[in-house]
Amino acid sequence: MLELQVNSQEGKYLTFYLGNEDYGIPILKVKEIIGMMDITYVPRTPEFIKGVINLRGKIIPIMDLRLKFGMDEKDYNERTCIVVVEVLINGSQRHLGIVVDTVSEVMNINGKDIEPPPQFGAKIDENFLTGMGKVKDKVVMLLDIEQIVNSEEFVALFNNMREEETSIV
Amino acid sequence: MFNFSKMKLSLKIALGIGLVVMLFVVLAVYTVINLSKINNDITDLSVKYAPIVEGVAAVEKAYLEANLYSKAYVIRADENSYKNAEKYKNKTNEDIHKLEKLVNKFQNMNAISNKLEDFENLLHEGEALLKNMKEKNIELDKLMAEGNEYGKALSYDLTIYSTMQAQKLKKGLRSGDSMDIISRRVTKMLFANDSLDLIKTYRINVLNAILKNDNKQLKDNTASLDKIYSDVDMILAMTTKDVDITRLNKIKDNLKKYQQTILNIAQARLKLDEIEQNRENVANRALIFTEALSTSGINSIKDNSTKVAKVQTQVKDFVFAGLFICIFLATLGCLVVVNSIAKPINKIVKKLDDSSNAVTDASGKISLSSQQLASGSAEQASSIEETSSTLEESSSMVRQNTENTNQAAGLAKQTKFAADKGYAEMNEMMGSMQEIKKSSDEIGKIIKVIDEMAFQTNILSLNAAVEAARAGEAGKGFAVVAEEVRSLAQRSAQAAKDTAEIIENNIHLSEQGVSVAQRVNSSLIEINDQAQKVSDLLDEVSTASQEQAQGISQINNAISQMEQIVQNNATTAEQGANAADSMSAQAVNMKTIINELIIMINGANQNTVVDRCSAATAQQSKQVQNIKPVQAPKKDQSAHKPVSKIKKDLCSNNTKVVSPEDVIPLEDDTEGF
Repeated sequence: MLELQVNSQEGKYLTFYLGNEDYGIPILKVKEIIGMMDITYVPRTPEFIKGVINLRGKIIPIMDLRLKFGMDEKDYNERTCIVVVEVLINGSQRHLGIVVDTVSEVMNINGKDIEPPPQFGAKIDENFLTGMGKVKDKVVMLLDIEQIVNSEEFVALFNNMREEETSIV
Repeated sequence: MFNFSKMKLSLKIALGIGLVVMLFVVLAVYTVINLSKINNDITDLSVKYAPIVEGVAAVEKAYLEANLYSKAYVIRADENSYKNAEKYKNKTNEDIHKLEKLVNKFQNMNAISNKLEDFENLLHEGEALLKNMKEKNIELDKLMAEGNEYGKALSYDLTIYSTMQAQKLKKGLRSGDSMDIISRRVTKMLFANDSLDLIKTYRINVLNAILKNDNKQLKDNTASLDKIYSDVDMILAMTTKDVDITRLNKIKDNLKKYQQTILNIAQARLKLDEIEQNRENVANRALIFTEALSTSGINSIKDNSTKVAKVQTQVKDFVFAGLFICIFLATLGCLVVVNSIAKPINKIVKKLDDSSNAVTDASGKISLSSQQLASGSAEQASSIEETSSTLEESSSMVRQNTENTNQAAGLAKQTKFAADKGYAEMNEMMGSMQEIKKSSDEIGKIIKVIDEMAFQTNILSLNAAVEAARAGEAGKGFAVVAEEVRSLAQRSAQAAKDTAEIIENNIHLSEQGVSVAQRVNSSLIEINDQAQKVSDLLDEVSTASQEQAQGISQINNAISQMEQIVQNNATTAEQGANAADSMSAQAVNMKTIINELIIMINGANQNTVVDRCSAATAQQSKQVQNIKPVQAPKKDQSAHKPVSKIKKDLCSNNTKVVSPEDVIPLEDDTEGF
């Protein structure tokens, strides 16, 4: 089982910075990387949802990962990037922009270099993490982006936006 | 409130005399008032008390007379005494009335008038008693006459009866009557003779008692006659003849009457005694009254005279005391006034004396000072000449100074010019530096663009890698390209970063250069300013030197004028010395005048000292005058000082003439002249 799991985790990851830490997302979940754009604020949304952007005619909701992870908010600069990811919500593919401090690189992480996330105790959502990748001297936290967005808030958010999307399509 | 010593002199004297006069007036008024009081009292004595006492004495005298006659009447019971007593009583009454009138004339005599009334009453009482006594005496006389008659009648009847019985006995003897009859007759005769004897004895006793004034004996003796009654009754029993019976009855009757009369007499006499006693009582009381009256009169006189004497003594004492106080006050006032006049004058004279001494001293000093001034003037003239030659040298040095200064000013101007040039070049350099900085900034911007491009390229490469990964196996080669692009992007980013660092360094260095240039610039500006200042100062110095040269020539002129003035001063100083001499002579004059004043005030005793003093000062002044023409200041000084010392010694032996405090301000005054 373990072997299988490790093997399934092995692959290419897009790494990025939040503060001083490295995080990684499986590259197949990434749709696109863009620089910072104007974000339209949408009222009555959770705090970590900064609003939406118009990416070549597509409305994409933007989430600040710092806020989602309960970190201090940081002003956006020219290094700030939006990573557009594809997520499966309610059985349909959805696009979501994640604001990160800056993107780093695309790296290949071997299965033997991935360890399961540490068990800290009861309530912490360790589901966010799929593992801890060891690259050179650093640790890359590997994120399960679908777990992060798989909550009622997001469901409601995307449900509201569906019609829009369809209308645009 | 007010200061006596500050009052006007005439006012002081007037005040003193006024005070004394006032006291005299008070004294006189008091004396006059008291003397009039004494006069009143004495008038009272002569007009009031003396007549009253006189009246009282008259009353007393009259009453004593009346009393004497009353007593005489009591003893003698004669009309003459009674009349006299009446007469003096009336006189007493008259005197009392007179006295009453007199007493009623004055006030406050109620005591005497009351006493007089009482006395009058007593007098009336005595009069009444005397009258009563007279009546009683008349009654007694009557009774006595009656008694006498009855006694005589009794004796007569008994004698006749005895004689008749004797005749009958003789007849009987002759006729030879019986013995019985004869013995009867003898018994009858014996009875008659015994009775006669009894009566005689009784009468003698009565007279005796009356003479002895023994009323008791008079009364008691009456009982001795009672035997006669039983004898008569016994005889009557023996008697037969009517004639005899009648006679015997008559005897009996008369005897009764006689006895009764004698008893009445005794009664009357007792009454008389009583009246007499009353009268005597009244008389004694009246006498006491008269005595009291006279003593009260005399006492009031005594009181009055003692009062007068007291007042007199008081007045005398007061007048003496007043006179003494007046004299004392007058003396005191005189002393105070004399003191208040003499003391200030003395003080003033003393001060004047001091002042004149001081003036003498000062005038000597002035003359000395003037001579010193003259010699000083000569010295001044020589030093002024020296000064003028020195000034000559100074003026040539000042000229030299001016030339040097002008040269220095030229040099300073050149310096300033050089500094200006440096300043302009420095400004150019600053411009160049700014240009460098500007271009560095532009390079920096370009580098930033390159960096951004590298970043975008990186993102693009990442996207490419994503796309390649999505393509799976087909995109493997593309993934390699993407990796290459990414590494290129990273290298260009690194290069841009390095370049940026260098450029940054450049910018920093150029900024430093700019700041150094700015500092150099400011230094140059300072140099420029100071060079300007130096040149200005040098200009000022050169103009000042020129002015100095001018000033020195003016000083030269002034000094030549000064020479003239100093010569003038020397002559003036000599004139001043002469004036000081004449002043000292005047001071001596003043001194003699002051001495006269001192003699006038203090008398001849103290003036000897003062004279000596004045003589000394006079001598001194003469000496000073003699010394004056010799114009040697040192000698003059030596001549002055001993003289003033001698004078001081002389004066200080007796009176403190000169005290330093007095002299110093006066010297100031003389300097003022």
